[in-house]
Amino acid sequence: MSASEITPIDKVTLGRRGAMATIAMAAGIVVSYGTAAIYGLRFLFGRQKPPRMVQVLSAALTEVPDGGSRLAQDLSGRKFLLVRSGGNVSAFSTTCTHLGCQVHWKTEDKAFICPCHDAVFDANGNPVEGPPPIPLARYPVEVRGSNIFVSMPEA
Amino acid sequence: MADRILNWVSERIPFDWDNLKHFTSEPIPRHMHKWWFCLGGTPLYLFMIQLVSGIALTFYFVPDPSKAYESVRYITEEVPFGWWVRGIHRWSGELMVVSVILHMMRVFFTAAYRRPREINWLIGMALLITVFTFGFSGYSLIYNQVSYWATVVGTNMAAAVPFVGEYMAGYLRGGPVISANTLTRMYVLHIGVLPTAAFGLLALHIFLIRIHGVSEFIDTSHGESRDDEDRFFPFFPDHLLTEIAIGIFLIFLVSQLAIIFPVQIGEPANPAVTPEHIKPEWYFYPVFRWLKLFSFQTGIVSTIGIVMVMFAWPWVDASIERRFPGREVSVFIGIAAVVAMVVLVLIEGLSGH
Repeated sequence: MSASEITPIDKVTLGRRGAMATIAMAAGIVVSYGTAAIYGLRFLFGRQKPPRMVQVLSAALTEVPDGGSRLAQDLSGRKFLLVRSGGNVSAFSTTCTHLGCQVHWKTEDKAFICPCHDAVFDANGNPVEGPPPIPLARYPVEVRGSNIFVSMPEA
Repeated sequence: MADRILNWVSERIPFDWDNLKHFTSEPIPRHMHKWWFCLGGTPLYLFMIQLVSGIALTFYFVPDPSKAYESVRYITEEVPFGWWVRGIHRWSGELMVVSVILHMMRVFFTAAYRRPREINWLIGMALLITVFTFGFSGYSLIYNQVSYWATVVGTNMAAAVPFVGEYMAGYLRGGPVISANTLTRMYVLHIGVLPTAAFGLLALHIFLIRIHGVSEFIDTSHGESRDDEDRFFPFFPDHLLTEIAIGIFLIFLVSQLAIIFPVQIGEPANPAVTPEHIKPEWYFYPVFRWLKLFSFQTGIVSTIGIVMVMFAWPWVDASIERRFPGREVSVFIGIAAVVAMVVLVLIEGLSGH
């Protein structure tokens, strides 16, 4: 076929049959590439399974003064705070609830300071100053005999 | 003989070379003789330096959390001229940010984004975001304390974006927390995705400049007018020579900076302890300080809002111009924005924490 025999695109009349065929073809393309795109995106998103919780032997009950607190750490060096009130013990994460940095315990101020964006939390993990929206996260605690076990995400 | 070779070539590459002459003799307005207006070519040149030095660094860098820091130390301390190549990569990156900001300010204050050049402003903004993402992903690779915690803060910022945040953070981290997947992703982003995006955006940016022509800047206070015969000079060779001269100066400057201010490696990353004094790169200071000033959601949402207004600026400007014709309100807003940025950088830079 020579170039002069090709019908210009704006002169092509589609007809009902042709229109249906075009729509079916377009739908097929959208569905097949769409499916591939969804699989591809899921592949890239990866496995978003939260880390396993592990129980860490944190301290003996007698090591945390009644009405006071003690900074403990797991084997990877990650710190967390134990606060005791009678027989009740709470454990706070030291991960800042603003953008995830590790807060530091300042003994003289009795407060946690986040070095990233100047946040301050009191000894009970409540935000006192700066941008954090919520208190420090609490970890589940179990007191077995005279020992304190804290469940926290595996490092 | 020469004819036979030429014939051989033109048969295999059937291209009308006169077209190239037409392409390279683009008329350039005479204000482009001033260096201030050549800032668009500077990032392009720096991008090429980044590309060459970056490819060189990939020969030694290992994107694995237990080996990344050691491989950067090896490049810096043991590979011959490793410190120099790394210095060039780092310093050309810093200069890239500076030149892109200056180029953008020039475009802003000469209102070169106005109709019909709005799309090129959008592409320029996309390039600005690309450059910042290059910086962020680049320094996360070193796997020292600053880079590790910057990655933590950066991905958590992405997670805080309303509606799509968790997905964005998931894609960046490759899991629910920072892991080996995150480093691989940052690496692939830095050496694959971003360079490809930058190539495409640069090509579009230059293509649009070429078909629109460079906007003229006629300085009537110095007796210039649209009727002057010497309003233009050709791209080739005049402007190309200017760019080459700037390029040579840039290579010299980057090399000197790499020698005088050698890059450091810092402390290796420790996921258990955030250092007591931590700051990102200087070009993230405004956002860093901004986030300290406001509550969590306000800080994140306002940052996104500012970026969106920057993208939409040609249209925002057009609507301001309709309301207050001829008052150049945009110039004052621009000055206020630049002053605010400089103040935030200074406050953050000078504060101890």
